[in-house]
Amino acid sequence: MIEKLLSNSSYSFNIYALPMFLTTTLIVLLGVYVLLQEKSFITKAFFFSTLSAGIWQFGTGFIYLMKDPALVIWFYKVFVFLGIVAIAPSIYMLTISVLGLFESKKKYIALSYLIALFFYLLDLMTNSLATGVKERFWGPYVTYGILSAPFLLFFSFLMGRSIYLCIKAYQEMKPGISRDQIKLYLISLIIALSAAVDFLSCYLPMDVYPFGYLAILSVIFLQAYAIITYQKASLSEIFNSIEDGIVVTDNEGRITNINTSVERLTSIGAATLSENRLRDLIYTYRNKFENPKQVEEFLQKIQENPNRIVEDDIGLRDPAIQLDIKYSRISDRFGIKTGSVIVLRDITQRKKVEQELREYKEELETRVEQRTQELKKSEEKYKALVSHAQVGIAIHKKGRMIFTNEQFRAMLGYTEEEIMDMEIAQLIHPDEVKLVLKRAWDRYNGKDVIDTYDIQFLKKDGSVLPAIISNVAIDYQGERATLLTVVDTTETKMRRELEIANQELEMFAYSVSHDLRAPLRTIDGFSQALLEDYQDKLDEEGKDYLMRIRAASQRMGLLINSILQLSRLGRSEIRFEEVDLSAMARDITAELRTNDPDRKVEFVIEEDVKGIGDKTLLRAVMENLLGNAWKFTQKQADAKIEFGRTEKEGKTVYFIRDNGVGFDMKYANKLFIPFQRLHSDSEFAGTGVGLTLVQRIVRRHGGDIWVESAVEEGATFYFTLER
Amino acid sequence: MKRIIMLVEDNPDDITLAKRVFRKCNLTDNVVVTRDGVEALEYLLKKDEYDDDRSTSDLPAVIFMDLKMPRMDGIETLKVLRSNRKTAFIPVVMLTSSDEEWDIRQCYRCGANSYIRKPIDFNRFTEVMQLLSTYWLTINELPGEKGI
Repeated sequence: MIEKLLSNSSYSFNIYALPMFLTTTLIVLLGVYVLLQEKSFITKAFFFSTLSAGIWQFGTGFIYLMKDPALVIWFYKVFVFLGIVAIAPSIYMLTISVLGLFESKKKYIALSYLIALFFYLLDLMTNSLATGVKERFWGPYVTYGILSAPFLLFFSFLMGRSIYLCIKAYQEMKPGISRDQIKLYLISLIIALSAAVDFLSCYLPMDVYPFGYLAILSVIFLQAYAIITYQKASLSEIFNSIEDGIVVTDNEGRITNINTSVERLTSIGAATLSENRLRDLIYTYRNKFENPKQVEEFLQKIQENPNRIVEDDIGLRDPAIQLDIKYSRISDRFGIKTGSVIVLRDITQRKKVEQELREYKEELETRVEQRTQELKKSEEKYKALVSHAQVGIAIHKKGRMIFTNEQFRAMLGYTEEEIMDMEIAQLIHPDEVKLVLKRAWDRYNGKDVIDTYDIQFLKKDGSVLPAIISNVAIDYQGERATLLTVVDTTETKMRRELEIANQELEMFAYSVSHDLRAPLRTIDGFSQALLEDYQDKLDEEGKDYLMRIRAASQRMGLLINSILQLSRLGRSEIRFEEVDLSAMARDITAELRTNDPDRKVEFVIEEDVKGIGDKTLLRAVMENLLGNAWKFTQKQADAKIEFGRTEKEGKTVYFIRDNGVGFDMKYANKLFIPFQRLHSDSEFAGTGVGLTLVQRIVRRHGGDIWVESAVEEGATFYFTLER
Repeated sequence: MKRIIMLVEDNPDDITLAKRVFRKCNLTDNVVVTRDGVEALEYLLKKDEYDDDRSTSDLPAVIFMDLKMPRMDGIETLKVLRSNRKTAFIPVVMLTSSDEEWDIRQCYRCGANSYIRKPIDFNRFTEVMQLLSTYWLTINELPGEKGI
């Protein structure tokens, strides 16, 4: 048979074989093409089905050329039927693969192939399938026997099953590209059924031209289309499902691919986008960007670095979002540049977070800055406090000066440069250095030593500065040091000296009171004794001399009394209370009248004049002033003395007015100086201390005293008791 | 029984002047003069040793004492007198030049019976001394004079 098959004489030309061969070529090429696109279950299954269909179609066409019916039968059995049995399982497998059920239906596929193989073997071994050959006008036609019935059943079952699964899947799927593909595939399956027309002649009592190849051809076409677009569809679904916007362009910048995210992000229709060149698009929609110039710069950058990845952030106005835009070139598997891809990523959220972070950071920085300022201010305050303190402040570490304030330097007469790093021993009086250093050393070693004591510093000019020093052990810049606070006690010393002088003065006054009076008494006493005991031996002149001696000594006694009164005033304490000056004036004037009842003086005393002061001292004031008025009106026929109160600048002013001899105001300044008198003693007796005493008392009360007078026009003394 | 005035005074001028006043008052025999506190105490306490019985009657009826004296001053002497049983009741008149408040207070605090400032005017001095002598020697009564 093989020899017959290979012999040229067995064949003759038949035009009807041509469509078969063409179909075969087309479907096998389609199978190969799809397989080349992508190696997956689907494409492989598709290839199988095209191969089986190809075998069938080619074999059928080849038979048309054969002259010997025996060869036809044999060839049909061996070759054509192989294609016929394989086609149904192959389509079934393809359907399963397309529906993504391959893994779960593997067993059924294997089973279907086994059954197909079974039919093939039956066909080879028995004559009940391909039974004979009939000559038709289109060529030899194989007739079928009894076994063709179960085979057709098997074939129909697989086809029906495939259609059923497809319909089921189609109904369950949501509308979309994949659903459309399934629909297309389903149609192809239904068309495939019409290929059964080839078998009709076998059963019908008429010749039916086997144009099944047309159905096969269209089925394969449809399926190839469905598979290719399906693959594409799934890719584009992935492509579109990406959150980032992706624009793919060719080398000329024409947009070849774009995903739906781009439209979502830019709100520019995908159709508009895909029709345009990228650059033109950007110029068209430049007002969509927050900063068109930035976009131009971005494009410029791309142009300058065509092979690099260029990245930038751009803002869109409407919708207001921030995009991260990344441009990179893409090339095919041979490394030839095919275009570029632009990825747009929505970074609005990220930017917002970044902005928040930035704001937070700025706020933090502001706060830190503020705090620093505050610290600086407080440090400045502290510095000012230390440097302008009226006490000397210094720090020494192990006896060396490491800090001094202005006052400290001023006290000792050094400049900052000079005193820095000086040994403290150089600043202390040599007599005290040893003691002070020992104390400092003990303090440094944590012993309990006296902190505050008197010290004598040695100034730069060699003079001594008495001071009180206070020491505190401190931590200065991480090391143990001693903080000194120094108060200049020169003034305190002076005050102390003054106190001592005052005490000495008191002692002096005390001895005056004792010792100065005794000789006076002796002088007076013996003068009197002389006058009495030697009366007969003394002439009038002698007696007069003795009288003068006595008068002088008694006057001296009065002076001493006045001095003592003055000195006592400085020592006595003032006890403030409300004093009825009117009553006091009445009392004194009554006394004056009693002492000199012959005089006629008119007293005008204002009622209820009160003042705050020491009763005893105020009495001395009133006694002196009224006494003076009494004294200096003694030559007046109609003497008048007034006591009263007036106001000056809101303050109470007391006055004592007389119409006595008065005095020239140019001597007014001498009035209050001790022992200064404006009248001779023979004219008006007095010691010249009274007004001094009055002034001192008034001043000790915080008041003031002044006088208005003119010769022969009396005098008015005014005084206040508080400032 | 003769009453005695003891004058404790260091100033010889004052002693002379005082004696002159006593003489004028016919009291010369009744006056014992000591020059300071030590001498005064010696006199008073010596008597004590020898004649314990007569001590009270022989003690002065009054002591006129200056404040400022050498060796032992008036205040100190006064303190000793007041602390001694025998002399505790002797009237003491402080007779001094000082009119310092402090001195006056101190004297009374220590038990002085009187404080007199010697006037510079001799006539006044004489008057004062006469008054004092009369008062303390004749008017004032002393403990232990009535006898049993």
